Amino acid sequence: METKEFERFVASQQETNVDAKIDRVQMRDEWLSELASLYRKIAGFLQDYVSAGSISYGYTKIEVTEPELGTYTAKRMDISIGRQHISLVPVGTFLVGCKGRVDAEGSAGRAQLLLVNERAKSAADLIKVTVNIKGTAPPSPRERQPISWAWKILTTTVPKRFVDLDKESFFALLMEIANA
Amino acid sequence: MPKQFTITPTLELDELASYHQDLVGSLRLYFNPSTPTFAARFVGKRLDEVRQELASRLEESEFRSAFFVLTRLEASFKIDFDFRCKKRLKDDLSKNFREVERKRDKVRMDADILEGWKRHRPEWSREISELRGAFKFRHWLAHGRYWTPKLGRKKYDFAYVHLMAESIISGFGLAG
Repeated sequence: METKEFERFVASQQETNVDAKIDRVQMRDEWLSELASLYRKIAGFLQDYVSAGSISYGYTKIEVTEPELGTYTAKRMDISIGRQHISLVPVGTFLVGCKGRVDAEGSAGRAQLLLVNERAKSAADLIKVTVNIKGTAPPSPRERQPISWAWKILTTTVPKRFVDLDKESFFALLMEIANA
Repeated sequence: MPKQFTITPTLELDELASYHQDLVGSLRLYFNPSTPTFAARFVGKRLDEVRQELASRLEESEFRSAFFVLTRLEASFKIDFDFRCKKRLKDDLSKNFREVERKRDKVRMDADILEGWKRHRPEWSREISELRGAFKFRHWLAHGRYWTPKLGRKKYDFAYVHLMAESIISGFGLAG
C-alpha cells in the first residue's frame, strides 16, 4: 500500500508534459530581446543629454544564472552622470508574477524594473481568486488572452504599484537611487 | 526577588508548541505559490529568493518561539524559588534558597538559583549545564544580539528547547 503510494508520489514528481513543452532557449531569447528593447528605450530617454555630453552610457557583458535556464550571458547597462554611476543589472526571467527583472543600482539605493502585464497597475492586480459555490457547476476556465508585456517601475510603497516607464518616471528613478 | 508574585495568564508549554506549529504552518502557506496573494507579495522575485526568505522567516520564528519557552522556564524556576522560601520547606535546596534570599537584595538566576539546584540536586547536573547554555542564548536574544555569542550548541531551535523544558519541568518537580 505504502509502496504504491510512494510510487505515485515519485511519478508525480517527474518532469511533466507541460514542463517538457517549455522551450527554455526560446524563453531566454525572448527575455534577452525584451532586455534589448528596454535598453533602446532608455537610450532614447537619455539621447539629449548624451548629445550634450553630460551623460554617457555603455554595456558590460555579465553572466546571469537561473536555476531553470543555467548560466547565460546578458548585457548590463552602465550610465554615468558626472560622478554618479548607475547600473541596470539584468536579474532573470523565471520570476514570480512577471517576465523579467532589471535592478537599477545607484550610490543611494536600488529600484526594480519589471516586465509585467501591460494592464497591471499594481501588484494586487496579479491576485486571481476563483470561488466555487457548492451545488453549482464550476465555472468554465476563462480562455487565456495573450499577454502584452511592458516594462514598469515597481514602487517600494505598500501596496506595491507598477508605474509606467516613461522619460519622466525613469528620470525620477535615477534621481532617487543617485541621491539627487 | 519580588516579595509577591502576580501571576498573569501565561502560555503553558503545550500552548507555546501549538502556537509555534500554527506560526510555521501559516508561514509555509503564505510562501506557497498556490496561495492567491503569492504573485502580488513576491512579484519580481526568483523562486530561490522566495525560498531563502521563507527559510529566514522560519529561522527567526524558531528563535522567537524558543525564547518564549526559555522565559517560561525561567519564570518556573523563580516561582519555585519564591514558593520554597515562603513555605519554609525543610529540604537542603529550600534552606539554601532561604539563605540566599536573606543575604541578597536581588536573586541571580544563574549564580543563586541554578547553582543551588546543581549543588543540592547533583543528579540533574547535566540538565542544569544544558539549561545554562540555553539561558546564554536567551540572554543574547533578549539583549539585541549585538555580539557573537559563545553558545554550548550550534543551534537552539524550538524543538530542542521545548523538549528540554518539558523534561526539566516534569523531572525537577518545580514547586509553586
